[in-house]
Amino acid sequence: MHRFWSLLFATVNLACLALLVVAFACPELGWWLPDSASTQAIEIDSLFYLITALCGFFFVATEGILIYSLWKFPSTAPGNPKPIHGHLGLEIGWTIAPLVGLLVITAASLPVWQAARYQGIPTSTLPGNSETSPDADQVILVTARQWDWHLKYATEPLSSEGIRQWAAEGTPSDLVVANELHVWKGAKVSLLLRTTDVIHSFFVPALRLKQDTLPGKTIPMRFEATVSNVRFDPAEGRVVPTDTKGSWEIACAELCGGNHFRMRGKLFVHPDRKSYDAWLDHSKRQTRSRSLTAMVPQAASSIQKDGFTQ
Amino acid sequence: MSHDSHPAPGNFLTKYVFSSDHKVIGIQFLFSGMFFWILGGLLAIGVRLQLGWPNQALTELLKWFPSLADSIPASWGSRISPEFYTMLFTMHATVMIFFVVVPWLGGAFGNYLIPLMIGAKDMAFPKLNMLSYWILWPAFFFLLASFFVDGGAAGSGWTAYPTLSSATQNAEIPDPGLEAAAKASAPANSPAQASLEPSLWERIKSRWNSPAAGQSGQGQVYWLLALIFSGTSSMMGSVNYITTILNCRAPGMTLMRMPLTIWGMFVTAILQSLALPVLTVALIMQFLDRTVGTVFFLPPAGLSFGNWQTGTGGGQPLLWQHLFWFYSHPAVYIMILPAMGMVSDVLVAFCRKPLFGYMPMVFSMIAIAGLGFIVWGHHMFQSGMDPRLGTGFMVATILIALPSAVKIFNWLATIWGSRIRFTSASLNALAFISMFIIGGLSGIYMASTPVDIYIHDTYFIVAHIHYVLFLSSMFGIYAGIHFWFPKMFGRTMNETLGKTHFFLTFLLANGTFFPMHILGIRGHPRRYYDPTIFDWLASVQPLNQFVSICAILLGLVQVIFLANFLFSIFFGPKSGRNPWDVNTLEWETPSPPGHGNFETTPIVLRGPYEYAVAEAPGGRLSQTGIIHDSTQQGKHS
Ligand code: HEM
Ligand SMILES: [Cu+2]
Ligand SMILES: [Cu+2]
Repeated sequence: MHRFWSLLFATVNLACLALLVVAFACPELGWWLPDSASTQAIEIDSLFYLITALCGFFFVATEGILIYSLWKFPSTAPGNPKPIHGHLGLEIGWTIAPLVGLLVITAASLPVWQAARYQGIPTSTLPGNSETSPDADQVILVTARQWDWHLKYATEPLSSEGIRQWAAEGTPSDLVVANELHVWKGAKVSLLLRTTDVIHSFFVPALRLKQDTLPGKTIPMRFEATVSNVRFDPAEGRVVPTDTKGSWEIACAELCGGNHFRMRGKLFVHPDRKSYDAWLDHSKRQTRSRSLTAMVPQAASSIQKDGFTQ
Repeated sequence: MSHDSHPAPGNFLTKYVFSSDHKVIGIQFLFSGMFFWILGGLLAIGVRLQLGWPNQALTELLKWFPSLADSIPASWGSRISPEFYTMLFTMHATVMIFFVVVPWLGGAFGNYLIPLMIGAKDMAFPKLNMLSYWILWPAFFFLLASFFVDGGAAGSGWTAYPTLSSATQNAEIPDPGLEAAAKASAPANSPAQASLEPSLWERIKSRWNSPAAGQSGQGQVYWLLALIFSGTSSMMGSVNYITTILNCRAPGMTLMRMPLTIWGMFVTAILQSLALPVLTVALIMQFLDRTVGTVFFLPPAGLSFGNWQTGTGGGQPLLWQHLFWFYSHPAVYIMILPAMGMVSDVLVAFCRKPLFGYMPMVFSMIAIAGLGFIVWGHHMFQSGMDPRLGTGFMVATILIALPSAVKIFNWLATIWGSRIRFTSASLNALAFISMFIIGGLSGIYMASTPVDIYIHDTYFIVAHIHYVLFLSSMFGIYAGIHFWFPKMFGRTMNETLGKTHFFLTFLLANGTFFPMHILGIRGHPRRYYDPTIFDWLASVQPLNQFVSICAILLGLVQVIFLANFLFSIFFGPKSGRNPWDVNTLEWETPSPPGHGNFETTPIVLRGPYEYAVAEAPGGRLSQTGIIHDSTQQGKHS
């Protein structure tokens, strides 16, 4: 009977492990990381696998010892246990070994985090870091509200100081689109995230990008898409999928009320700037008469000028 | 000491209801926790019904229980409404955290075990102890009443982030509803101007309803009140525990001879007493924002919600998150350190071998508690907090995994070479260790800030929470109940039922919570009413369904535990003083112990874990040095 319990622990742990392995090994199930389509996504995924390797080793070792002990040392086993109260060497050993693994994870995480998040901090407070706002190919202001996203595309080049001005006031030629993020492959995209009401979180799984929007703040975010999934077809006057990648979605990741789950958007990565520009021109012509800009509430804009500073 | 002066209770009311005896109070906490455990479980099943069969659950349910049809609001149609769904998960988490796990570990086990295990007659402040239980009743009232107020119970998550939870309509701008009401109630010939001016009370009342979230009306205000009272209860408990452990130990019970259960309770009480005031302050601030119109969490320019606006602010929504997590991160350790201690004691009792590394075990608890105060920011990596703070919090968070790992290794070394008796108690304790490994490892993924960008607020977090709180803390509680039940009620629980419950719970809980890791890796956001509207989540719907089926069965098999518990109180076999043959002091007392606990003050000669001692009869040495023969104990208890 006692072997039964050892086997139960073994079965449960192996089943958990097996589910992970199956999910990883059978991409067609769609149980693993979704498509990864940005520079950041590639780095985050590698970190994910690094942690999985280290944790997997720790998991197999510790659960293995536990299951083996349950098998080997039931009360019915012959002999008596030894009155051991501890062992200094062992304690030191099993403090240092995981510490090394943890430090490896920390060291590997630091540069990725910096690359993902350290832009937008005023240079004066951050020694040795890049300028406030490195040149971006595209600047997009994302305004969240219950329950959709409004994306305002800058259509003229902006200086780093000009960005703040623009975020607050805009220019007449800007294009505003609901729930559609259009970029082109390789473009350095600068997002400015804000909200008019509650906290939301701009989540683009394919880009491994997630950032809360915070009432009263404008939060800068950068990314660079590495794979494209659509191109603009001038003949049809719309974007069409280019390959099997299909559609990439945008979701809200911070509870924002009953319809939190409905803040669904789409990510369109054009193959090049030409396709993007064609889309932009087309959309502007489409919406000029409708004056879509009126849709974005300007109420909270006056406080957004100071960008990241808290 | 004060406890010497408190007399044995006279009548039924002072003995069982308004008792100041720590044992009665502990059992009171145990039973109230059990009620809320059932409530919280039902709420969770509501959540899983929706997620397993989005928009169809209600139709299916009505086929089975047609009589429910009348109680469903017409506006819902044939489905659970999204607002109701937000209420389900908000209240599930609130109930389980603040009304089940905390009161069970701290209130029930803390109260029952601390005086017994350190050889005291009672708590240092018995009256305060009684108050710590009864002050929970206002909390019970507000919590339960909130389900019946306008708009239903709170629906902004157990984390209650402003501005969703707190934004209220500017009372200076007349509310159309209020205006209409005033018009209707005003006599036709009176000057309309005067009656249109809302009174202060009406303004306060109108603030009780937050239009920001469909479900954060008055329910949110009740939620705040419930938490303020339950926090006060925990605070009273902690002060009492700290004082008792420092001042009331039996002669010879040095700190380093205390069983790990007591160390867990002690460290927890210190954590509570330092962290709780911060939560209470935050709750009061949100309460003021909601009622009298302060603007602690409202940004300077105010907010615009399409057809209505708040007034101007001057506060900071992020402030809430800092205050909330400054408490709630330590709170997660409050919800596991006592269980870690209990599991250590149960484990040693059934391994018949000394605990491996007593000192490292104690120091790792202290390290967890210390580091626990500087990692709260790991809940806020994506909140818009300065990313440089994120870096610091990442390093601290990664470090906190270290003492957790040390504990795991010491448990494994305790088991290694022992002679394990498989009982309901020891199996649950072993499951704690096995499952805490998984929960701790998933924590490391989220501690790495870049990986957390992706998995934050996905089901990966939900999996982590439940591996540490359900599969660890709850299994610790099951182990504790099986283990100390004989002391509490003088009878033992049924082993066959206990093992059956363990077997099914272990399987089903893993079936429920492990696939959530996969959902999280796929990117499935948490708190989603209907993930199927997303293309990229369609592939995981079968997993969601599997999880829901396991969850419902998991809920059902808890009936076995409940039945075993209630049945054994009355019909379990009589247990005697020391049914498991254990060293610690509580087993020197009769089962259940009388008022004042010990017949003679115990004198402590040694640590709690002297097992596998070849020279001693029975292979063990009691902490008091009296060697009991367990077969004889039954007679004079
Ligand atoms: C090895 C140690 C642990 C580490 C490194 C760790 C790390 C983390 C991190 C980084 C988060 C935030 C994730 C996010 O929201 O993105 C988190 C969430 C959480 N952790 Fe842990 N954790 C550990 C152990 C525990 C333990 C022992 C408990 C409780 C008994 C616990 C309970 C929770 C809870 C309840 C949350 C979620 C709160 C919420 O957002 O609702 N964790 N953990
Ligand atoms: Cu949302
Ligand atoms: Cu935490």
